[in-house]
Amino acid sequence: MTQRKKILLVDDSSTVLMVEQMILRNSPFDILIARDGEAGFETAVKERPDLILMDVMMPRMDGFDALREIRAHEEIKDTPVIMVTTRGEGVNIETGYTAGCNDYVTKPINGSELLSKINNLIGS
Amino acid sequence: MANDPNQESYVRRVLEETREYERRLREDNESLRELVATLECERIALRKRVEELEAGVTQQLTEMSTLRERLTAQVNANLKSTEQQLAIEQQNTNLANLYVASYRLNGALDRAEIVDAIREIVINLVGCEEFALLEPDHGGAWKVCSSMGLPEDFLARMATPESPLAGHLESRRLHVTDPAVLSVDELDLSRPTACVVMSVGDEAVGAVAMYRLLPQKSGIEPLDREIFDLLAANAAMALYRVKLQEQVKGVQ
Repeated sequence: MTQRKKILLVDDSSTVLMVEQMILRNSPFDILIARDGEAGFETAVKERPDLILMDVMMPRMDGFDALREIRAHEEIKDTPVIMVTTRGEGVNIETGYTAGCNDYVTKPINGSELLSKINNLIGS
Repeated sequence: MANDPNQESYVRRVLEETREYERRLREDNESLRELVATLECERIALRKRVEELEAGVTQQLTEMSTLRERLTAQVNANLKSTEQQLAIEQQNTNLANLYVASYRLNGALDRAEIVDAIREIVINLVGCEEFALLEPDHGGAWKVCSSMGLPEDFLARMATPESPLAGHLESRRLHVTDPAVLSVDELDLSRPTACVVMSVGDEAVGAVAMYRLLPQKSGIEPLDREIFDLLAANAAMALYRVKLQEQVKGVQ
């Protein structure tokens, strides 16, 4: 029996976390949650998720710094990361890609777009 | 007159040669007749074969046409199914957003939590980072109690009776500017994208004035209007509930 894939949701907003969980509710993934960049990095090291959905603006450590930490960590550096940004302007997206994200979605989150990007990166 | 032997011999020879020639001609004629018959048989067989092949080609063309029609129907059905699936996913997302907004507002226990929930809904579900949350004071005048992304002078003018917003606040009705005010437009006090007045009965308990939408938003969508309605109803009840709780605590 194959193990279910894990997705780590990193966001300080309860609203966004709930929306993401509801979108992923019927998908075959186990959901992990962290509420800031630092906790997100620590959970990623401990739980080895198959994919991370990372918010940008968060307390303690923002999403870009957390992503840089992940890419610098030998054991989790290849984990696909989708940035969840409020602002979809070029500069934000460029910073995300420079930090090493694989893809991005903008808020308000479109469920079909998010599921499609997750499936592209780790399959359903 | 006696016959000349040479002449007689000549005539006989000519007769024999003529007979021989005639015999060969008959044989050739017979051979040719047989050849013609054979060729006719072959022609008939070939014609039959051509007809069979033509019938086969016609049948194959018909089958191909049927298959093509079935393929087109299947492709159309797949497209329709994909569109339906996308529509269902979109509907699920919309329902998820509305459920989450409702859950956050109804689950909030104090004023700070309600304000926080309203802020998160406007930022993350509507897609606006230039907004103000206003509430009426005891005298009925409006004041800004929370805001994001709006300059101070803008906020100071917003709640005055002369403000263009005052009319929307007094009307107690949802105001939506359509087409919406986008990120590329100028920030204008008289043009909020939406002004949601939250009231219970005749009593207004708060309002949210939203200005320019985030760059990725191309306009107000049906879901946004549903969120505005939900804010107007559920946030109003949540704020009213907290207000009553505060009054009860004050009495105690």
